[in-house]
Amino acid sequence: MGKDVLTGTYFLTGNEACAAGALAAGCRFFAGYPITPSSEIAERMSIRLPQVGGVYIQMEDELASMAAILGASWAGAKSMTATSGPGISLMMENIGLGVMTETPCVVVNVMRGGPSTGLPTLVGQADVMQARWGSHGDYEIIALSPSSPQEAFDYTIRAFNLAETWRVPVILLMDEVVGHMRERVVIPEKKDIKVANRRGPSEPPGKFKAFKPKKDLIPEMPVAGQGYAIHVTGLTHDERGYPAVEWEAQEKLVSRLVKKIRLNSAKIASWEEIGVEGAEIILISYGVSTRICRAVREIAREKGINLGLLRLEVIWPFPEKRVRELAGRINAFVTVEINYGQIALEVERCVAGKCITRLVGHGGGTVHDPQKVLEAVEEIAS
Amino acid sequence: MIEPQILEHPKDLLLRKERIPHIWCPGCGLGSALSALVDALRSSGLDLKNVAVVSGIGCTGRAAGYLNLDSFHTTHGRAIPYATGLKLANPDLTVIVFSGDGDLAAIGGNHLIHAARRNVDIKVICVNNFNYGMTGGQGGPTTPRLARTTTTSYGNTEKPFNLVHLMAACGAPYVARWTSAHPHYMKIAMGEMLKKDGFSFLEVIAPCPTNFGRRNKLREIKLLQRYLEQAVLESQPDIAKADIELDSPILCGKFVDLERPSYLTALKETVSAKVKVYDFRGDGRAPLEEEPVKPAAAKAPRKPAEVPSERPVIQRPVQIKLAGLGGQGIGLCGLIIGRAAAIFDHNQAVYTQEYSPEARGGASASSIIIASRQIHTPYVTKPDIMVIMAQGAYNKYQKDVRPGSHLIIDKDLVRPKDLPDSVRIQAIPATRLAEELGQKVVANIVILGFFTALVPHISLAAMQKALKGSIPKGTEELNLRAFETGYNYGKKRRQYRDHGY
Amino acid sequence: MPPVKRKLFNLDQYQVPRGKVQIISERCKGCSLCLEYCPNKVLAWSTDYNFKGYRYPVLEETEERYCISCRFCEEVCPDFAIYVIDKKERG
Repeated sequence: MGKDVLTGTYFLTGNEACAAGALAAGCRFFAGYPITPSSEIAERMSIRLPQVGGVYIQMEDELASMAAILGASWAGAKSMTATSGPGISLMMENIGLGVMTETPCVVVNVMRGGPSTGLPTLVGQADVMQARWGSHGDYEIIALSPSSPQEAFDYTIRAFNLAETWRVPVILLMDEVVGHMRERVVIPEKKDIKVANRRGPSEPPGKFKAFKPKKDLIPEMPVAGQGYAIHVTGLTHDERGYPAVEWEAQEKLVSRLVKKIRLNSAKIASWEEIGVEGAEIILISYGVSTRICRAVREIAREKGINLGLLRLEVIWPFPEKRVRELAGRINAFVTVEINYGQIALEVERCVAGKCITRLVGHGGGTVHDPQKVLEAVEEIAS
Repeated sequence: MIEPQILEHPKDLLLRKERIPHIWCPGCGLGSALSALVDALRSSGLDLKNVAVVSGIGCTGRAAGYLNLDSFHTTHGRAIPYATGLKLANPDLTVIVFSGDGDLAAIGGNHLIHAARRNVDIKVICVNNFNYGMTGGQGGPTTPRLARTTTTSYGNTEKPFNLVHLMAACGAPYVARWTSAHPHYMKIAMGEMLKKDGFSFLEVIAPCPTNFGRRNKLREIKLLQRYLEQAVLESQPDIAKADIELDSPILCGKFVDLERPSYLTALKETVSAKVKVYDFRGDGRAPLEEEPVKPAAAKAPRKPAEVPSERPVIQRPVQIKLAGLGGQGIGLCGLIIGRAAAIFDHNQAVYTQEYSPEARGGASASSIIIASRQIHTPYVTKPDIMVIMAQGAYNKYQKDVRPGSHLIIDKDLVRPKDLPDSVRIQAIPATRLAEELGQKVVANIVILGFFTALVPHISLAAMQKALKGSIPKGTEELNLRAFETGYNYGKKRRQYRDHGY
Repeated sequence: MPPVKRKLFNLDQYQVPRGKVQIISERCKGCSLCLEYCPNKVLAWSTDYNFKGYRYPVLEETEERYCISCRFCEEVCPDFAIYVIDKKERG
């Protein structure tokens, strides 16, 4: 059998790097449906998975793809799907099932311009709120956003580790630019890659309750074929997993699903701060827009403007506490994203009037013009 | 004598006893079908630890939850793809889908036909009660014509699915139909399905006395009695005659039973011939055999090599844009330049590609930015160097040629016009030279060699290494000659007019 | 022509099996399938009701009508409420 980690230095697209990251994280099942600009992930997985004994299957649509990776996860596989645009909308139904049944899996959304068919080959960043609450019902989820092919590799591994640890579908919010651009990607030695695995049952069948949480609010996860006769349902359920269609059970279950992410957000949330200390104005960004913000910072520095950058690595959960803290100390937050204000609203909420908030957004199809971002910064600075 | 009260049933072993009685109405056929499945499982000899049941939504959807097996109650219509994931990730599992007609044939219809087509080894038991029972008896994909439901009050006008015919047409290797009044035959069919390697389908015609029966004047047991009267049992039933009308005979029996390699079997046969694998499973129970460490390949140095001494240092990012017609190999050129810079020169390089909707023949471009430090903006906005290989591409991208920039063209294929005087043009008859080498397709490599001779931002050694790692096996010699031809052509030119990039 | 009553010539060598019907009354929903399909009509409705409010089957065997252990009731019962155990013939 082939190796799952092909250590070396490569010149890869974000999509190819994502597939390499998935294999390195232990992914052995991929179900998907082709859609631009994510198809290269499926193509790569279809070549690589058989080499490592895994299974690639092309399903009939995205509804099926999402359902299949949940099934595979309950059979013990680390599973993934990748899609974009309309595809992620179709996956929302079963992402909800994944949340409700606490099924670890990774969903890659290579964001393109929308709504609807929109811009299949061009970039967008407008699925951010959909990633958070796109499925019906109330829940919390984890989403990450890489800004380079190297990060596509690294964050895919992180996404699997987070999914396995917190038992929730994790969304990798790539975007078309990161998915298609090539850059140097260094794949480390297998021994240097940290991989997390779900916690299995510590008790024998009989006494064991499949949805009884441990202290960290995460239940232990048996899988099919282990003799636990588990029952997994999308209905509101009790600790045995049996349907309990009543408000008390709803309160108990859904509040835990929300809390397991919210109360652990200090362990999950992750961001990078560049020149934030002493900055008057801080840019907030993620994905490809981060790259533009880095360029803007350099130009601003030449002009004598002290500009910081808070770059979201994990978008959900959002670094609420940190943004709130900074808001009391600075003049303004400028959110740079390819939409008309999604994270910007989140920033506004956390800032709660303690500093100026601005959005530099556009509808997609290309990245930001650094000049436009700079203008917004200069307007506040003057 | 007072008999001691009986509390246990021999089938309880396979039931989640604490959940019985189930939610199904008196006279409903679901219980009989479930009971038959329990019998079939008991006599199957299967290790029940490895049996999983998947349901969708609706009355039938509750079935999974009553069986004391690994059971999954999924979303509406998605039982089959969910089961597909379970089965493929752990092929040791026997995966049964137990769901209703609305769930499997309407909202999940697409999954049903594709699972049958690709012959995934799952056993589908479709309990057909001709309506949506749980939600109050609305019409569905199997409601017979003129039947009354809460949404077909004047009688159903649509033609229903003949499910067995549909499944046979999709290539399912096992297709049978019984009514819930035939528990014995159901049990036999289910037993056969459990043994089959491949997609197998059983339709169970079951009464829904509460909804379908009540609205069609067949209350309680009368509906089942009617089905029993309507049922025609044949040893070799004609599937084309299996349509169900309100008063027609209900043709029962085994319609299809043939051998066809299941999805996993076919996968193993096809892929094993090309890739060394001994098992397909996603649950990680087949550990990877680590291959002995081989010396690092040229394409992928195991450890970052020493920074080459001839590494060009590029302070300000250099933007390069290559344009041509689809099929000219412009993308490959860009890729080689990027690899050379990023992997072998240890510089930074960002490569992007413009896509045109045509797969071949449309003008397309690829762009590379090279610098010795981190590159932020991914797109080329002001190219310092442009390479254009065809007139069609020139017409499209001429607007990007900036004053003072360098333009490299195929002498014979591009006639530059309307350019600022300050544009420095370097021309090479790349296609002609490639033809002389014997293959027109290597014109892109000729121009790449030419580019290497003229442009100082990438070292020759890096370019040669990247080239070797990027071309198909067996074409090395031709490509290296093409590269050399272009390079020498450029070197000569450079001797005359060194522009000192 | 009067109907011919056919009888297996070696019937004497065989014994009609006997069974004992077991009823879990609390699981019954009174659908009547077992009563309907019992070939020997050995079942009848109870006089009282179970906790769900249904009458349930009770055994009413006579010399001629006795359980022959065909298990049809067990197979057809949708509620896992009835089954049959084989009765060993004494003597």
